[in-house]
Amino acid sequence: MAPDEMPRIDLDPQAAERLIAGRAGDPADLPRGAAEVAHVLDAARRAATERDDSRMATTVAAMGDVLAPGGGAAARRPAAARRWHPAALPRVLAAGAAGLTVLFGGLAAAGALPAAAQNPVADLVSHVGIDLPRPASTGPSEKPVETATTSTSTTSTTLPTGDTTPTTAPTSPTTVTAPACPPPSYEGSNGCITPLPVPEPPPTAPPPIPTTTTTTRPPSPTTTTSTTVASGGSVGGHAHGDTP
Amino acid sequence: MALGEQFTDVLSAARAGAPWALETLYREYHPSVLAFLRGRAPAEAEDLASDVFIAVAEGLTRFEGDEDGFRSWLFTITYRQVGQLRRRMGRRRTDPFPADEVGERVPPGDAESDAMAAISTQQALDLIATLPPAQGEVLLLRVVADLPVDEVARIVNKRPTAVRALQHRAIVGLARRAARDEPPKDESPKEEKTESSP
Repeated sequence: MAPDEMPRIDLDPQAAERLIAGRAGDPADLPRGAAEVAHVLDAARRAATERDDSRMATTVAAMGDVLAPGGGAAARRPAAARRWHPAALPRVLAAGAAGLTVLFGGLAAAGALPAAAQNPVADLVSHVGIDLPRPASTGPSEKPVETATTSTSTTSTTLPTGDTTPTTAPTSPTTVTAPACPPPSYEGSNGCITPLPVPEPPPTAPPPIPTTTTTTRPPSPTTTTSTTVASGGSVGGHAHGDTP
Repeated sequence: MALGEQFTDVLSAARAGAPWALETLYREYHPSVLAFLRGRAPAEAEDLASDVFIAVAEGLTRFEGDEDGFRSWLFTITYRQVGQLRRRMGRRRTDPFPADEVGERVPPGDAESDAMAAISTQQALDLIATLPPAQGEVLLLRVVADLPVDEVARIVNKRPTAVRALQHRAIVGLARRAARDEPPKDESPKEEKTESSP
């Protein structure tokens, strides 16, 4: 049928409503073209009954995940791309903060932080009973932990001359070593032990001898200072809880 | 095509996450949702249908109403999914068929009525897709979703009189296409096109 032969469609709103509702009635009573429209709408209506369950299992499972306790955004969208959800932000921030704490805590405990950072960190954590090495009293290349692991008697051996504390320790750093072993050697359980040479800085004081042990007085700040001066900074005793 | 008295029990069980209830809702409403989407976004219809049902699950505990209200709510979500898809894709709607292709999609026959009677569901949806977006959406919501004029008006954010006018123009447009009387582009006024997107 040529377009120029087609009449204009004259369809009133009531007839349109009947077509939509599927109550077109007798096609003979419909305007031209309306019967064809009725077929199209019937086919569209049939489309709403055609079942396609190919995705039912995955979709229903995703719906169940959403409705499950604790479910939600993470379980959704099997078809669409997953998107960033703001609920994940606090967890990411907490994990990042924990990681940074561990990292800088480890560096601070090892005394590996720069001096400008090590001192404030040591000050901060000293309020909660944790003592960290300080670059001002121990050289950056030294290992204050070595002295920190020795017994408390070590501190008493480094008291400056004139201290009235009863002690068997000598008053100079050189007397820390056993008399039988020339410096820098010291007496071990099987004889003298000579530490390996360290290029920079040279070892000036070997680890203290546990036998020099009798002190009854807790260390004082002056103890630390004098220790630093006398021993060249190698036996500073911050790790025993004494305050700077 | 309705759950009837079972709806309340099904809804309660679905809110609790019961798989059988979710499956019942899916089986009941998925065909009409998919048909609507096939008429609006054929290439993405299946993906969007899955998204619609997951969005339903997300809002299920907040939904209050009867079965008719549920159907209306479901197609509100569906309608908005199409709108979101359009915004994501940066275009208003799926590409309409060229005017000269419309006739080729209708099965040929000696009598037009015979051809139209034999039209498949997909061909019918394709034909509706040639309508201007606002007309096509209103017609699909009325016919495929089986919603009354007032509900369609609420979903598309128009007055009921505007919805009746759109559906009337849609029917006339389909009749003209069926009769191959006119090209599909001059059907709707300009202002209608600007407000057609959800």
